[in-house]
Amino acid sequence: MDEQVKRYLKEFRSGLRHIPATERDDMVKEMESHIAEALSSGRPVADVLARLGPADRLARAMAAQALLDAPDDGLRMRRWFAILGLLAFTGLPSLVIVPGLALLIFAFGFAGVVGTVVSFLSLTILHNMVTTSLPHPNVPGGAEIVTLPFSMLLGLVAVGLTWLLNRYIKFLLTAARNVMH
Amino acid sequence: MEDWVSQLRRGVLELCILSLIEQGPQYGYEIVTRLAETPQLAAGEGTIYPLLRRLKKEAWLETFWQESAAGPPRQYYRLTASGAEGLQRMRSEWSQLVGAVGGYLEGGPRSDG
Repeated sequence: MDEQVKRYLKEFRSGLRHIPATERDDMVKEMESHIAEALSSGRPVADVLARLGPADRLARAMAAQALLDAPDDGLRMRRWFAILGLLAFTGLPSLVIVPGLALLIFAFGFAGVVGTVVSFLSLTILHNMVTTSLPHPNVPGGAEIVTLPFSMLLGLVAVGLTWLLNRYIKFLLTAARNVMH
Repeated sequence: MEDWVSQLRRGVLELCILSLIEQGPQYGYEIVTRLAETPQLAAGEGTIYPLLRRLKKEAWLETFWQESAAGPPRQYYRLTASGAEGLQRMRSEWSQLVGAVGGYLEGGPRSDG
């Protein structure tokens, strides 16, 4: 195999490092086949590779499509890391905004869940044991009347932010996928 | 302007690719070459291969590898049943749309004040 082609395929494979090995191998195999077909029809190597475009850009378009297709299920963490890795080239958006949003979601979600659970328990089962019932001049009963809905609100914010983050990720991936005219 | 044209092309490329494959299973390079015969589509490998991948994930296309006489094996694409059905629906949407747009271009429905 021609040295240039070998180099191209190596760079192409490297650009696909964020996606699962089986899909990556399939894509490389197909690109290898494509290049071989082009060469066997008599076109010069430089020409064929130029038409394909830079290997890293082509890989990025393929990887972005793979991540857009990937189901949003159990492989959650792996998909997230793959997305972050792929989008690192966008700089600020992925390195700051995405993890930043994720952190906010975790914070709101955690506070929401803990707050809701503690308030609920305090109102019911642990009524006499948990002393979150601060005497309040205007609110009859205890502070749970405030903390319970407030905690649920925090949880809702977390849900909203998650939806927002998913939309943003989809937007970034689509832009990466469309990068080839 | 460029953005509009590029969006248009992206929109119709899927229809063109599915119609091509409807004629018979084809491999990636074949599809790319045939689409290159219509430069108006300006569809390159970087657009076509991800699209083929998406159609395969959506189960509109299925693939199979086949040995080739001189060179590495080729990955062929063919329409699935839902792909064929989807193509029919896209075809009908397309002709309705083209008809409507044609009407406007010929100075169609007008609101008289």
